[in-house]
Amino acid sequence: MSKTIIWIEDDIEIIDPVVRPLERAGYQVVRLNTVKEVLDAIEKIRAADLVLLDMILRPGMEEHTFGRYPGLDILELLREKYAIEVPVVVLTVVDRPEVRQRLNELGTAEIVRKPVRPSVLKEVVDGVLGGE
Amino acid sequence: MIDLELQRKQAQADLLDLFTQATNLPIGLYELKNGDLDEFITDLSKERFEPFCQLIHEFGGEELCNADQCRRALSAFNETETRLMLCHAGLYNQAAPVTVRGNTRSVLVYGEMRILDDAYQAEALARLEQTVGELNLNDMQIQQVQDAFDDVKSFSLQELRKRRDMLQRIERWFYRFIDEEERLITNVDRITHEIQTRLQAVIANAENMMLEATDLPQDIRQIANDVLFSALALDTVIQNLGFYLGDYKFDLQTIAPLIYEAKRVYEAEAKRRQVDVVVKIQEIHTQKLEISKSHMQHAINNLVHNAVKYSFRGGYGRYRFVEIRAYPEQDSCRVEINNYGVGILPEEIAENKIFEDGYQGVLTEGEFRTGAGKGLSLVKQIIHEHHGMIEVESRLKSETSDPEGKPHLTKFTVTLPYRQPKEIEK
Repeated sequence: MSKTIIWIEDDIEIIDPVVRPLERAGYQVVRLNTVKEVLDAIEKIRAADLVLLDMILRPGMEEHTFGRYPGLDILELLREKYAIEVPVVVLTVVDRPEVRQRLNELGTAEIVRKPVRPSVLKEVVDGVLGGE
Repeated sequence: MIDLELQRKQAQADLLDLFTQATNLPIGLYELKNGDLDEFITDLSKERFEPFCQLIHEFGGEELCNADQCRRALSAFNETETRLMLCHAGLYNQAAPVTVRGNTRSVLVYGEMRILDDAYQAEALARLEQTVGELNLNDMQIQQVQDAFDDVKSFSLQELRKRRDMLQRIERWFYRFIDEEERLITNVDRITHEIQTRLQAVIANAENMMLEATDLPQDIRQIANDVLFSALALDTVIQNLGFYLGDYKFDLQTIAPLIYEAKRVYEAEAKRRQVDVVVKIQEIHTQKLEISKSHMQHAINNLVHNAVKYSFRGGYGRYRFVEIRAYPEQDSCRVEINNYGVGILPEEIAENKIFEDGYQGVLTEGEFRTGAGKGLSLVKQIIHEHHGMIEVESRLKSETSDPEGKPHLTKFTVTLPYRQPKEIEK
């Protein structure tokens, strides 16, 4: 059975080709575009094999308490509120030591800087999932 | 990254010290942070506190003084005008709110002075008498306090107004600059995010096309190749601006693939300059180094790119090349990047200027100069994180001039230890 990757990213329409090699290799990539879509898909995330997470996201809803880096808030929710231990690969341009420190505290498999070559991202994902 | 908060504190300290030097008056700056009063007094100001105040502190009045100072600062946050305030011991202070575009950003309290005006003098003496009574001082102490009070600096009201105006103008500009800086940083953050997102799309599409479209004609695939490596070169330029390079993550690996990758990234540009990029690697294909791959790639990219862009053109009868050599040397691996073209002056090397952030070589002035002079400073930082060393030599090849300038042979040498950084630290 193919492995499922949840890709949480607000610029999917622009950078969709970055996950193309993953899909060609047989991974099923589920795209979540906003914070609201993430919150609606908690159980899907729990059942996934890996999460690819961006730090900057649009809320997608009027009422929200998400901060400057909604990706960080989402990771906190997944780990601390929903006790979801799925490996998370962060794919980001954010350069804040305090953000990186918090990401490490919450447990991330890798932090990958954007832009990244799709082949490199696939190597990282393969590595985290045990060498597809 | 630059510690902006520290830089602002230093700039603020300089301004306050200049004020104290010019007026001989100590000064404190107060800001409100989350509703609490944050006090900032420089060492120079502390040195200039009145001996009278120190005496009052010694005789048990310190707590009263501190409470008084905070009261003055807090009340001024609700004022629009500078107020002259009498302290509990009979000295005058000015509390000046600094207001920028309708917002009070801070309050400056300065003084510990007497005023040359009979009405003010009488008020001050009455307050002093009251404090002396509250502190239960003996006759000798009262005399000491009185003598110290007589020695306190005195100013006319007109002089005070001038000082207040000067200070408020300086501080208003200071906050305007801070606001401007913050606005600039926010804009740069936004633009960088936008550029990197678009760049991500270009890199992904170009690489996918290269890897998948194997049935396309070779020249079309070459175009995809050029697009990919131009985008990666652009990414190196963006990283040089000081944005996110990611955390250092050291793994054992050989350096050869990073050299070949840098060659690929800049090969098209070298070709346009009619310069060959020649790689000579000895015995290091199998020897592994403790490397943070993305950082070391960034460093090698910068060095190779400099060598390519500062090379004189080749062409008919003028073979030009950038030579990258890598070889083992005792316990280290050495990577040399040699080129022939625009050089570096001996004093720029001797004084280490060439590795300073923002420095641009004198001889690169003109058509060769690109970027913001940040690349080599970043390269040096990366090499140091790897416990390595970077050296540079540049010598005029002959006194004759090439059509493109005086030719120099320039060599950057990076030495990286085979031992792991952690072992070296031990």
